[in-house]
Amino acid sequence: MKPIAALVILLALTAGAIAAQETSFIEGTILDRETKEPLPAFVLVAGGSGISADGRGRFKIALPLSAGPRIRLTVWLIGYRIKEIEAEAGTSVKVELDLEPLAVQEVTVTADAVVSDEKNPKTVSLTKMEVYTLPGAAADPLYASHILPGVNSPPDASSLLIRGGSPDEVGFYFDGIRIAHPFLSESLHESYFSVFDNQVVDRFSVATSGFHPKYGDSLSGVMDIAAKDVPAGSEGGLGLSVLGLNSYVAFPLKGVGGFVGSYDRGFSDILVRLNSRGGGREFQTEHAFGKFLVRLGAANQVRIYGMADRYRYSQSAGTAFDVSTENDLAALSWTCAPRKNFAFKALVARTTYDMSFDQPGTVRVESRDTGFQTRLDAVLDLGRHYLEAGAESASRTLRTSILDPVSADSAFRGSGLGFYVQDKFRLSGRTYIHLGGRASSFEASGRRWGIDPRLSAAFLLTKKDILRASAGLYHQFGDVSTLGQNPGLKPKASAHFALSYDRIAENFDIRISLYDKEYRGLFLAGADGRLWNAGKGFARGAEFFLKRKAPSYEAVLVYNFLSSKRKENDIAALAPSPYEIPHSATGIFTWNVKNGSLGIRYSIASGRPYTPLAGKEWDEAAQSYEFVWAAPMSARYPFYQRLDLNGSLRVQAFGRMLVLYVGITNLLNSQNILRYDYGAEDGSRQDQQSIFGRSFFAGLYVPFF
Amino acid sequence: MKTKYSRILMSVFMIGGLGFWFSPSDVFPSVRFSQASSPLSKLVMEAKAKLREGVNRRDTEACKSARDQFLGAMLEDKTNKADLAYYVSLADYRLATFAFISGDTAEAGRMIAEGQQYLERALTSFPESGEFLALYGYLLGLEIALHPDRAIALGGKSAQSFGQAEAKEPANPRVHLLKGVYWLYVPEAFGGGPDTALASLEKAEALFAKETVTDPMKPDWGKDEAFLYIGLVYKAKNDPAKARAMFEKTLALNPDFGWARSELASLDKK
Repeated sequence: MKPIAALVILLALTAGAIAAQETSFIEGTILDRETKEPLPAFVLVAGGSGISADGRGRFKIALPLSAGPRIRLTVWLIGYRIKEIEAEAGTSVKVELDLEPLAVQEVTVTADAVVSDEKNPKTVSLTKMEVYTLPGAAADPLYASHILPGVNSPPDASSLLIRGGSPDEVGFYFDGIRIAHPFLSESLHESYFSVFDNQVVDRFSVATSGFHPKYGDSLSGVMDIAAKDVPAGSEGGLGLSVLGLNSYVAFPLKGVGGFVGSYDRGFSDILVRLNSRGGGREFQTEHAFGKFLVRLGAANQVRIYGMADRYRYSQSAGTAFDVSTENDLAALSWTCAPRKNFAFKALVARTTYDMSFDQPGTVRVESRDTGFQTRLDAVLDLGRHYLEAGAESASRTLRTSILDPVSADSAFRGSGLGFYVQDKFRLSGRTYIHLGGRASSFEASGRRWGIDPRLSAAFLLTKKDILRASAGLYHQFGDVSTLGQNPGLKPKASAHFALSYDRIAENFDIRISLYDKEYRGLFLAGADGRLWNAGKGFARGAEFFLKRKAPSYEAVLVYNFLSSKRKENDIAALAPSPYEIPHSATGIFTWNVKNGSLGIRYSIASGRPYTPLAGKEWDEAAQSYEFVWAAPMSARYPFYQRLDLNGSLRVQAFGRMLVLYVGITNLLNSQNILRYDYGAEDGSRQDQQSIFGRSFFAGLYVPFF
Repeated sequence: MKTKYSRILMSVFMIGGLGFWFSPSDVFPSVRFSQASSPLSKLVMEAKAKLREGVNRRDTEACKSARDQFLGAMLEDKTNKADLAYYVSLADYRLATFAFISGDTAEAGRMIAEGQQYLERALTSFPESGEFLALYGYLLGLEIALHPDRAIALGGKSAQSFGQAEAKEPANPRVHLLKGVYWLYVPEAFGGGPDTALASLEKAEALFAKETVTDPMKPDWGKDEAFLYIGLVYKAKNDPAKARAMFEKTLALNPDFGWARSELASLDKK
């Protein structure tokens, strides 16, 4: 063989060997460490090229000669931790990736906060749009929240009964402002319709246990409503229905900030005629809301709020009376973010609530409740720790004038202070903790303090499964008139223990919750009629929530079980709580039809306990009957049920999109009994039925984009 | 006394209503892309060229390869990964579109979800980027095809992203291009359709005429697509002459653009 030919052969063999080595490879499978689901992650060979794994998590990469027998791989998928491994060329590897640690504030730890924030899907939610489309909710966030687990309210009144608590144990906040009177129509027994216009609501949450220490003076729950902020572009809408008209507008103001506002007027005339219901009852409502945003540089924002609600109800049939309320709010807030990880918000607000009740010839009362509040809330994001702290002060003045049948005036004043701190931190890879507390005081007839430590934890079993637990102490001082008339009264207290499991899949959510609330220091009337902190009680229960979403339908099923007893007010021994609804369930089915939707909702609830009249004896001396009452809370009202339907249709007309909607409330015309009243003279029973008989309504809404 | 507040509020509301006619603010900084420096910049430029090729030939594998190269660049880049995340999501947008065309909605969904995550990461570092926001808005809009039951919520969020994008980078042609393409596929009942789209697309075209991209690391795509989509608008409006002129302009800029060629060929057949 000639030398040249030998060289050529040698070169050819060498090249073949090189080529053979260049076709060396590494292959493998990439999985989620928790779920073992295959991941289409990206694999990068050190000093070489990279490739994405296929849908089954499998990859195969050809290796260059320079890679050597051991190669280094970097494996990554967004949302997961980067992993670097070493492997032998020509082998198959299995790589398991861990979820990237979430920023602490991205995880909702609160054991049972039911948040409707779309950015935070890791909890049961109710969106603003669902408030509109929910049958029987009257587009009112308060009514809509009745379908949430932990809300035991009967389907009729707006009042929130949260996990066996009294309606006055719930705190209401609107953009951080405490709202003392959240109802248009407020009464001792039932309240109807909220002052919150869903048009300007951005999101809301109902916390049923384990809630944030920034909320004080609430024994059972908190409803926190965030008003819509200024959008990037202009938007608005105009609606007309059998209940009146409503309007909404929001727009940015160049170089200034922007404005969000709404104005609504409601009246009963058409509704009454449409449903052939006379009865001599009529109402009128008026609502206006405005929120100006002023940007002062990149770090400062000032918001100016105004809200006014008017309500008037007249009844000429039966017992004739008139009720009117005026509910006003004016507030100013300043948000400042001097550093990327630090911000604070200062708030000043004034609220007034005027009420007038006139039952001609019998009683005429006027009252004014004035509140003034200031708050300072600050957050500091330290990465692993998210610190929140704040202080608040509030004062209330309640003046009441009885003008008829006698003339009498009364005035009660009180003022409170509150301080809180909370640290959210990640204890380990999948365990998140909220640890904090609150100190509150109230001065009405002597200063009283309440100290509330609170602890919540969330454990991410997998990406879709979360276990939450919470324990905390809560205090509530009582209203200024009660405190003013009962010197020495300390705040009521309750300890909450809650455990919940959530399975949050893309279109399938489940929540199962267990809770125990122990009450101490409830107000109990002594022999002299004065209140003492001698009461106690408990509320224990379980909840189940299921939500299934599909392109053509959405289904929701909620069931609440509750067992609650209280020794409170004039009930001197532990008896079933007047707020105990042992079983309540709601099923909702919504079909998404072409350009619209059809919804049906059925709600059922056990009756609440009440103390029945056992008999009456004629008192000759007093010339009146003396009533004999049965054992406290020994009977129950009949069960409640309600079937509601609604539908909406989007149509194109006059170059615009129009939304037409119709609904039937209480289709079965169930005569739900809210309470029995006994005649003062002869003890005759009068059934107080829900105001929601079978009613048909319809309307039209024109959105402006 | 009792009605004073409500009167003031009504006045405030009425005065506020006058402001409805003002337009959004337009003073925002643009994104700083990573400085062009090899070998990273070489890798990114190669990937950009490959993505363009993939779009020209509707070649899924080329787009996937470009995406892998962007991902590789992200992992190699020790300074700032956020802007490269934008390019990954741009590839995701193309791949999601191809997946829809081939009927693979599962793959489309995966690409949309990942593209959104990469943009969220990019926006964490550059919250003032109108271009990132516009692509985010577009991907939200694409998601409607997967979840029509969430059309109202997603449409609202998408429109909000476009609104913010326009406010932050009003002179960025790709913001208007993406907005125009989005509105082209939104049903007329919801305010979309060819006429709505045309306004944004023509704005994009005018801004592309003024745009000069000197930094090869910066996004420079879309000029040809602006003409293509304007052509599609005219086609939808049954104006073949104007459509043809636009498709020809597209091909003058990018002779290898397969979609423009096929559109022109379909006009020739008629």
